[in-house]
Parts: sequence; C-alpha cells; structure tokens
Amino acid sequence: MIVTASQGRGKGPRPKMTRGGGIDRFRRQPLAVAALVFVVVITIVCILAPLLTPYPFDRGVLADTLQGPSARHPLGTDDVGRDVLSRLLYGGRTTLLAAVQATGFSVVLGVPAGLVAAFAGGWVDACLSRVADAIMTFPALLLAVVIIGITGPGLTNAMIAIGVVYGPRLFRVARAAGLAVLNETYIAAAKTVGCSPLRILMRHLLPNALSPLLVQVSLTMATAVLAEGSLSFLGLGVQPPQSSWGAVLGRSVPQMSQHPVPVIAAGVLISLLVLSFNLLGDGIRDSIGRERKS
Amino acid sequence: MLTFAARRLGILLITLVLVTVIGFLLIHITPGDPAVAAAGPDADQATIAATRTELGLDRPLIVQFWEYMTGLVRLDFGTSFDGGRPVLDAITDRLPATLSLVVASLLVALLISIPLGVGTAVHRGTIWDRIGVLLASLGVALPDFFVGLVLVLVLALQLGMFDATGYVPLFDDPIQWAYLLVLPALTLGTTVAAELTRHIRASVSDVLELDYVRTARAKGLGSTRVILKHASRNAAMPVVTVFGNQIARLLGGTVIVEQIFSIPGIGQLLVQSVFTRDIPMVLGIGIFIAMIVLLVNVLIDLSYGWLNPKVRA
Amino acid sequence: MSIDLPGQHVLDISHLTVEFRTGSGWSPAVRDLSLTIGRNEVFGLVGESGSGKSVSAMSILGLLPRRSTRISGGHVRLGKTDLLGATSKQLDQVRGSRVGMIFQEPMTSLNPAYTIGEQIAESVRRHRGATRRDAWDRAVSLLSRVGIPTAARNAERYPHHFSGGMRQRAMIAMALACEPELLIADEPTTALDVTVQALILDLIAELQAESDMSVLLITHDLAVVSEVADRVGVMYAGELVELAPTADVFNAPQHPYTSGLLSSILALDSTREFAGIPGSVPSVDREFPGCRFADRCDFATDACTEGPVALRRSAGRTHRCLRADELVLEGAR
Repeated sequence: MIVTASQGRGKGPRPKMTRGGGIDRFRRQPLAVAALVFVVVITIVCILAPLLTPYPFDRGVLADTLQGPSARHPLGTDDVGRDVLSRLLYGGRTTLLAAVQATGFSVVLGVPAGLVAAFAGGWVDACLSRVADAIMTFPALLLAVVIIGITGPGLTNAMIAIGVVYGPRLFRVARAAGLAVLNETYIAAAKTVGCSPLRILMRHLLPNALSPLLVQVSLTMATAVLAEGSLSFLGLGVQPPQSSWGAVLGRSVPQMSQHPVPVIAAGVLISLLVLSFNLLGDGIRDSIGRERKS
Repeated sequence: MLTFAARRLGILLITLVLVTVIGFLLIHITPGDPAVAAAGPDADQATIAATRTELGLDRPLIVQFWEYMTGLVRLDFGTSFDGGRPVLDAITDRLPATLSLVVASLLVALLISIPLGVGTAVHRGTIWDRIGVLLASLGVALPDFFVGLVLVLVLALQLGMFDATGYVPLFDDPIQWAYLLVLPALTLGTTVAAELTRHIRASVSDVLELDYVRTARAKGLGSTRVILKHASRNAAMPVVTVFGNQIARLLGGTVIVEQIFSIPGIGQLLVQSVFTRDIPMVLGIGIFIAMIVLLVNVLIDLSYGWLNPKVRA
Repeated sequence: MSIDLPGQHVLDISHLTVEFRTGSGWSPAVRDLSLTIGRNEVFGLVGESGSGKSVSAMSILGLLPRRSTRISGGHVRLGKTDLLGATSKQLDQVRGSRVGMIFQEPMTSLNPAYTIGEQIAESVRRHRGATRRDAWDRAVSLLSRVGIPTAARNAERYPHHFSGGMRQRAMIAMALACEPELLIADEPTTALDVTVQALILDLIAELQAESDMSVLLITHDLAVVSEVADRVGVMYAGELVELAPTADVFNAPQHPYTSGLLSSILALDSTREFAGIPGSVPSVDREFPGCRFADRCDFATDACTEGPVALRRSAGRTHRCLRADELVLEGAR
C-alpha cells in the first residue's frame, strides 16, 4: 500500500505529458509558430491602436468620404469619411474581445458541465450529453441569429449566443478528459491514501485536460471570429458607431464596386485570424498527439 | 434497426421541445415587451394593451406555451407580428429558394470534395496532396461572406460573367434559375467542400491501409474498382457523420449568402424578422430549421444501416 | 490451364531485392532472393517476423505500398510473364486469376460491407466474365467445397457473422475462385485457434492435391511446413539462408540458423534444455560486412565476417554458410 501511495503522489506510472517536450514539438511546426506570431502581433497592434493612428474610429471628415488608398489614408476612407485602417485597428479590439467573450462563455458553460457529467455519470451524464448533442446538431450561425432575434441585436447578446452554441464542444473535451482520468487506477490509489477530491482534480485532471482544452479553445476562437464577422456583417452584431472587422466589411459592401479595398482588407484580416487560430489548434493537437502515440 | 430509428426520433422530439422551451423563456426573460414590438413603432399605450390582449400575451406563460406547443403538433407555427400572416405560410413561400440554394451548394461541395479528398488520399505524401491539403485549410478559414463578395467582385462586377444578385424560381425560367444560382452555390459550396475534403482524405487514406483493401487488390480488381467499391463504402461512414454537421452548416450559411445575393429565402426572412422584432417569425423559423436538421440526422443514421451491415443486425 | 512447357517452373524469383524507405534513405528488407516453385509443388518459406518472407510474397503481386517500398533488383516470373515489369493492368489480370492469395488476418481481410458470396463472385466476374448469376453459383459451390456448411445461405451473410476459421475458409474460396496456378498463403493459420489451424492446413493440402496448383506457404512455424511442404526455404534478416527438400532440412540442416530454429521448436515439447538462438533478428537498416547471422552463431569464425557470403551449392544442397561442409548440425530427428 505504501508503494501505491508513493505512486499516487509522485510522477505516477503513466507516461506523462512533459511540458518541455510538448513545447519543443510545437516549435518544430513552422506553420503553427507563424500562426501564433500572427495572433500575438495582431493583438498587440490592436491594443495599441490609439497610439498607432491619429484618427478616431467613430468620427469622420465628411469632405473625405469614399477616398481610395493614399498616404494619409492607406486603406482609404468609408462612406462617412472615416479612416478605414483606423477602423480596422480599433475594430480588431472588438473582434478579438468578442471572440474571447464567446470562447470564455463556452468554457464557463461547457467545462464544469463536462466534469460534472464525467464524475457523476448515470442519468446526470446522460441528460447533459443529450442536451449537448441537441445543441451540436443545430446550425451555429442560425441559432445565434435566432437568439439575437429574441433578445435583440448587440454584440454581447451575439457572443453569448455563440458561447452557448460552442459550449458542447468544450463539454465533450472536458467530459472525455474527466472519464480518462477516472479510469486510471492511480486515482483509486490516490483515493485510498486519502487524497482530497480537489487535490485529485488539481494534480491529475488538469494536466490531462489542459492540452485538449487548449486545442478546443483555439478552434473555438477561430469560429467565434468567424461568427462575429458574420453577425456584424448582417448588422446583428456590433452597432454603429462601434467598429469591428465584420462591421467594416458589411458597411463597405454597398460601395464595393468602386471601393473594394475596405472589403478586401477586412476580409483578409478575418480570414488570416481564423486560419491562425485553426493552425494553432492543429499545432497544439499535433504536439500532444505524437506524445500519446510514443 | 427500428428501435435505433425510434430512439433517434425520441431524441429529435426532446430536442424540439428543448428548443421551443428555451426560445419561449428567452422571449419572456429578456427586456423588451413583445407586445410593444407587435403593435408597431408609433403605437400608444391603448393600442399596445389591445395588441397584448389580442395576441394573448397577457395570459400566463404556461398557457401561452401550451397553446404554442399544441399548435406545433398541428404544424401551426403561430402568426407573424407583421400583418398577422401565418408563420408557416411565410416559411413555405420562401422554402423553394432556400432549398434550391442548399441543393446546388451541396452539389458543388460534393463535386469538389470527393475528387479532391479521394485524390489527395490516394496520392498521399506527394506535392498534389500537399497543395490539396493547403487549399482545404484555406477554404475552412475563409468566411463565406468574404468568398461571396470576392466572387461577386471578380466574376460579376469585374468580368461581368454573372449577375451580381437575384433569384428566379425554377419553374419560371430554369436556365436563369441555374445561372443565378452559380455564384451563391459556389460561395456556400466551397466552404463546405473544404471541411468535407479534409474528412474524406483522412477517411479514405485510413481505409486504403486496411487489409481488405489489400485483399481486393490481390483479387486483381484494378485500382479504380478497389477505391470505388471496396474503399468508398467504408470510408463513407465517418464522412457521412460529418455530412450531417455540414448540412447544418449549409443551412446556417444561407442566412449570409441569401443576404449577399438577395435571394428571397428563409435566411433572408429570418434576418428581416430579427430587424423588425417579429418574434413569432424568428422562433418559428428556428423551430422549422431545427426540425429539418434533426430529420437530416435521422436520415443519416438510417444510412449507416446500408453502409454497415453490422448495424442492421 | 497453364501454357507452360513441362519441367518449367510456375514461379521463378531470381536475385530479388526489395528496399524499404527508412529515416536515412533506402534499406533492403529482402536481399538477393532466388527461388523457384515447380508445378504442383508446395514450397514453404520460413523465417521469424522481420525476416522478409512476407515482403517477398507481397512483392510477387506488387502489393507493397509504392511510396515506402521499391524493388531495386532481380526479376519475378510467373510462367512466361514478367511480373516486376508488368503494367498495373497486366498485374490485375494475374492477381486473383493466375495467382490467388490469402492473408494472415481473416478477421480484417474481408470487406465488412459486402456479403461473403459477393466478395467471391466478384473475382469470378472480373476474371471469367461470368454473369452475376453464374458467378454467384460458383461462389456457393466454392464455399461448400472449402467446407462451409449450408453454403447457399452462408454466402448471403456478412463477414461479421463468420468465425475466424470460417472466414479463412472463405478467403481460400476467394483465392481459388479462378483456379490459379499458384496460391500464396501468407501465414494462413497464425491468427487462428490451434484446433482450427490443422483443419485449414489440411484443407489447403487437400485442394492442392486435387489440382495441379502450386503453393507458396509463408510461415514462421516449422511444424506447419513439416506437414505440408515439399521443399523449404529458410529466411534470415532478408536473406535466404537455406533451401532444400523438407526432409533434408529437418534431418540435416546445413545452416546454423536453421538448426537453431529446429531446436527451439523442439524444446517446447521435449525434455531437452531450451537451445534457442541468442540475440535477436537485426533490423533491416543494419549493415554487416559478412554473414548476417555471424554474431549470433556458435560456429562463426573470422572468415565468416570478412566478406559477403553468397548462396552456394554443395552436395546437392543450397545454403549460405561457409562452414556447412565441416559442420554436423543437429536436426529435428
């Protein structure tokens, strides 16, 4: 029994995810690293927006409407004379913040529910899993639009909607991680030597669940950016004069045939950010995946 | 097999009830009085009160919910705030346009993803495989509104190959119908194709490594037949599973694409109804789409029986 | 149905070298393999896992994955047909028609999505141009020939309804559907229960005896070979180390590795102390200056490690041992 206790407390007999190993493998994936760099750079640039641009995002100069790219306005101006680049820089804050909100919401919603389902089992698990399945089958964007239709337009409503829609994904990851840990014999060993449930949770569950959760968080960020873009494009997300990438794009569509630059700039930014979060998620997955196999 | 289908049908009903309950609760928890929205922007207090009574919004919530649910059983989705039109009528009016778009997009998605997915799987590790995989990851990341706008910008506005927007019913003018659907279907189809390609590639390359594919090759069937007959049916199983999600995604995408291309479909109706705060319409469309999605999922579950004889037993 | 002249070989493999892609380039998994199989002969190819025997079998019909393997030398002839130089179309006409093949894993070698009958009939339709009806009838009669009870009914069932032994019988029926000149059986009994193993082996021997079919039987199990094979080839680390009629190999092995193999199987059912062979089979990418078995061999001398040892003939025996003539090795009897 004493031997088991030391196993329960110590490194454990299971091949453990070594932090350094995972990061090393991540570093060997150029695409994933590039994606991470892009996300970090965009985040910093958007946070520093007020320092980087002399123009406000919400007021324009009516004499300067719908200008093409120039030295003063690298991406031109919009239909009320606002600098498009400035609107994109400020809009990036909204887009990123909205994505963080939505993702955070689905983590808060999905992870505890997933852990409860795993640990409680039985009908609790069955009920929660059915609800998650039901939400998963529904088209995310449509559900978000319907929720907004009922609660009224606005970015926060939109992001809560997105959070609800993607909660089940995190639910599944958390539940799977919980079940995996429960099935390990060393948990039983830890219990017999009187480890508190909280201690078991912190020691064994978190290291196990962290990597798959990170993967899912990254992928959810990608879909949240897409969703924000779509909803703001439809006019259901951020409300004027607030800016976001989707809003800049949606606003520029009517003048698209003469002034395509804002549409393309906003579209490319959204696409790159979504791609980066996807690649980041894949990269993290590959860094863990290989370890699992070996 | 029958019990399996019955179980799925049970889940379908539970989901529908769940969707309705959540929708109903949301309407009444969130700030904003539905009666105010229904009465219109310039209504005075008396009109609002009259509207409330007329629509039965003054009755207890549970009664309203019961009425709504029993209505649903009779396929009565309630009436629109906007002119008192039955919700179901408005939906069925717009169904053909959305259906056209969905079917055409699905066609585009399959035409792209099957050759690309199978091709990259068969030639795995070659330069063509890498290009295909890269295209697919790009396609997954591209927002459909952006794809649509770029297509309009290049093919319609710059090259003038297509009309930028518009829709003609199939039976009015089939050729014009097809012509106008090209760009919307490409928009919606390519994003779905990207996701499908990834799954098909993964699935086919898994199956190609299997022993029974080697057996089929040892029988001298020829690589085309080996892939078409022996690999495809088994590779289809995991793909069919994601296919359900992709149809759901397509339906979601109609909201965007109908907006870009001015297609008078259900998605456009939904967005309009959101702006006019026509809550019965929004809820009705939500439940209608939920029904379709769940029905598709039941069909997909049934297709497992055909794909895998083990399920049939 | 063969057009071969009498006395000619059904299968003629000479100097075959097959290479695998490894981290650092290409490494030979089969080196300079030469053997022939005569009409109506059962040839047993024996070796431990990793000795290259299955790779050799796969390369006959070009079934190795093209990306990770290549054939870098030698030729394989089936009658007058050059199989290595054949186009994929020509190969497809040989596969399943002139050469039938059965594999180790009957559980996974049949397609779960199609009925047993369909999978047999398919081959008949492909190679014989038979109608659906005729092909099905042939499938049913083949199934009944390989000992499947109520064949007509079982032909309509799916692989998951069959036990391992029944599946292997179905595989045999499939391989024999077009009356091939050669049956390649790659570890056909390894995955089966011991009681079923003997039945399957008997069936193969029986079917072979009643036709003029030849069999290439690949196995790691010398007991299997001793029961049915006319001649035996022993492979070690990608090379053929000994080739002789079965009785000779068992009575008087010429290569120390063969002797070691024989003593290790005998150790299981006798009171003799376990002899076995020290060490393990070297990996494919390891290079040896001389005999590849030298560092595990009790009889190795300096000469053994000096240069490559070619396949040699002496006193009517073929082997790859420099000291064969001076050694008197222990056999099975």
